[in-house]
Amino acid sequence: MRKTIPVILCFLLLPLFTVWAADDVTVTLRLDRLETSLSDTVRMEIRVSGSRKSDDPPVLEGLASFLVTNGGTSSRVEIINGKVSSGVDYTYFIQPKKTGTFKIGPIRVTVDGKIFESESHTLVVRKATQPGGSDPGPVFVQASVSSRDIYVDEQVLYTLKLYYRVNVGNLSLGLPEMEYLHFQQLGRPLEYSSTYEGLAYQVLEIRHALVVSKKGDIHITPSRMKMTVRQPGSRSRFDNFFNDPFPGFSSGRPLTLTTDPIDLHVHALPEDGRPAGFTGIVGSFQMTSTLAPSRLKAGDSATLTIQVKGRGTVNRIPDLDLPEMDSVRTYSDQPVLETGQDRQGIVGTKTMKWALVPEIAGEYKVPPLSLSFFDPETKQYHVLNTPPHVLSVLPGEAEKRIAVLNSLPGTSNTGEGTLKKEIQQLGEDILPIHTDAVDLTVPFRSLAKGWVFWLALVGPLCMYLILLASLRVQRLTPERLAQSKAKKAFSVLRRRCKKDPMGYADLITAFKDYLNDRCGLSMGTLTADDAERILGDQGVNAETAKKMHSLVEQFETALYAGNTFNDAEAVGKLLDLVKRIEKDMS
Amino acid sequence: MIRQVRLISIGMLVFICFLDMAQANTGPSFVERFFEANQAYKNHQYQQAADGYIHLIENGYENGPVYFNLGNAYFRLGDLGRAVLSYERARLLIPRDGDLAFNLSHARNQTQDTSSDPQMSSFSDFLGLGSLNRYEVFFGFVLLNALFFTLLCIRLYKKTEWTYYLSIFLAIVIGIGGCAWALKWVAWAGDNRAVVLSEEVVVQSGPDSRDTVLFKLHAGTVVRVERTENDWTLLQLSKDKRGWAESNQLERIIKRTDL
Repeated sequence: MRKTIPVILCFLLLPLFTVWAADDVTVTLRLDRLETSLSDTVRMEIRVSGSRKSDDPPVLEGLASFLVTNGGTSSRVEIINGKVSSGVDYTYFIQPKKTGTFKIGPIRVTVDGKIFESESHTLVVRKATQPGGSDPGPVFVQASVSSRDIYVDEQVLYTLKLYYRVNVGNLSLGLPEMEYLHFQQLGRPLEYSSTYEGLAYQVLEIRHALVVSKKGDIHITPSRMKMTVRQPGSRSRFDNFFNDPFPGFSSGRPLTLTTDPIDLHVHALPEDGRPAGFTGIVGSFQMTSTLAPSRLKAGDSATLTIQVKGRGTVNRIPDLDLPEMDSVRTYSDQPVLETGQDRQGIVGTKTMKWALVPEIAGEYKVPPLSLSFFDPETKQYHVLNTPPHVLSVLPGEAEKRIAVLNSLPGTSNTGEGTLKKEIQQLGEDILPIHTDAVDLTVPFRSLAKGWVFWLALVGPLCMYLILLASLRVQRLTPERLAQSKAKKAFSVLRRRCKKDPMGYADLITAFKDYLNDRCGLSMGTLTADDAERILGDQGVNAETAKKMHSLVEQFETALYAGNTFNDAEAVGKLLDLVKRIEKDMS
Repeated sequence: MIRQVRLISIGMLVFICFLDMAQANTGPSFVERFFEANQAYKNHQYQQAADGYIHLIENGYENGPVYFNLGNAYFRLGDLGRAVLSYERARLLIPRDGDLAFNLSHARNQTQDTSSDPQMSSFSDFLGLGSLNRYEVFFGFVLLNALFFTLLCIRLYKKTEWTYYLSIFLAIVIGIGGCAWALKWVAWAGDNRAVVLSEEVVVQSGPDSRDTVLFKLHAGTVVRVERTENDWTLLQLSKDKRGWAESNQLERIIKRTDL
């Protein structure tokens, strides 16, 4: 416990020591090697002791011929043999641009307004090890083109291959930037294993389509590939832990690799054999055309489709013009260009469509369309032509009518295939006067004037009303009234019988009234004998007349001697018999 | 009785036709005058022809062909305003005449003003009746009316199922026909169009020659008349083109005496 307390006190008093140590600031420059090659990166460390911060970043001298990448800053506190010191370390990675002997440093650091300088070192840069004899190194990059002798606007493959035997990451690529070079990456980079000079490598291959738009000897400057290299060291896990306690966050060593420059010889497109209308398409192309339907009626529509597909400068495929066709109206559709890519370069298809609407029947030849291009493989110009298409047109509905009219006598047959023309107005004037006296009447005008108007308007109504009134008057004569009564007699009787209660006297009276109405009588009283006699006179069946006689007798008996059957039964019997009487009398 | 009804119905139709035939029998003097005017027109004596047609119209022989011929005569005389007026009047009587439509269109094209043509009420085109004159529409209505009541008369004596349904159908048709005729009549009676007769008419802001001049109209332009005060007429060409002009410089298409 007694030993522990001083240690704790030392840690507590550490800032005081730090302040004290700041008075003794030293700057040290360290290079991890003093001899290197163009393809290597040198770690440069600037150790500032006696202060944990500087006023400004260190000023680096002698690095004009190097690519400098900042590797980060770290502070440190050290207790060595009881002596406490603090400091800050600046790490840089420098990669030589050229060979030679270079003086690195001194490095100037400003602390609290005072400038402190480091010592200098001499770094010797030699050429990178060439593949072919010795080890090319753990990581290198190569560029190649599919052909060095090409034509203007010819598409060539520019391939970059990164060989590596160590872990690399954070790759970035810088392609040569010249206005007459046009790169387009083809697909995603490929990764595969390969052997180079007897050594196994992982290879990252990136392909580009390269088009050069300038003739002459072209020097393609190197491409640059930046990356971070994580090379496993030989230190123990214990050392690794203290040097890099968070291995997952280690940034590794940055590295920039460059390819060798490439020289191309670019020819201009030959003048000999250049077709008229050549639009500068270079590559390999095919052209197809279809006409559907090829047989149709006048006024219907056919579609001519032309497709140009191939590899090369597909963006320069022109929009073809279909010449005018007699008696066929043409409507062009918007051309569609679809571009794509494969491992060999840029490919594309341009589709052009026209709607053809023939106006009259006949056979029409669709004029051929042509497209010329230069093929670098054969080093010749080629002209593509569409095959001849024939459009067979049958007479349409409208044309049939015209044909019928033309066949009529007195009309001139213009012949098949003759163009219709817009009728030209040659003069203007009014049409002549009417001379036919038959047309001089104004039809029906007399109806709309004076008393005729009212007669025509209300005459039919009046006629109807007069007829209706006369019918009413006719119905009031004794004969019509008697007929009417006779017709309604049964329904009147039936209505009276429905009255409740109905006595036998009422039934006899109702039947008496029925007979009066039905037969045009005016009896005051009715006996059974009277009823049978009257019915017999009216042509009613004798049996029915007898039954009615019997029924009336029963009614009379019931009325004067006592009730023998109920009221409903009596009414029912009466109506049944009257119904038979009606049938006999009708 | 049915025989009586039939006789009455036939009698009415014969009466209507007789009236029409009576009107058609215009007499030799009318036909002679008509042919004389036509002959004058053919001899390029247009003023004489116009006088002949006007004489016929003033004597009651007012019909479409006479107005049409009068329009032609005026057109040949260079009186575009009266030509358009005559054609418009002819159109009220012979609306389906193709020659008339052509000549009216041609005459309108000759006018200087590009105003839109004020048409009669759109109701007049109800059921496509724009191609019929008002007399024809009225005759159609009268015929339907007569048929309907004849059918009702028949039903007084014989009530059959087919007469029942036919009478309902005719009642519906007669309702539609009545509406059409009424609309046609209202459109005709409310037609307040007039034609500019003078070569140039000054339209002013008020019925006074000292009022501000708003715009000028030219012969043949058809305008709408809103009202008349003394010798001035308030006319309207469109919503923003209205003003007063002297009444003697334009003439209504429908004569007020016809109403």
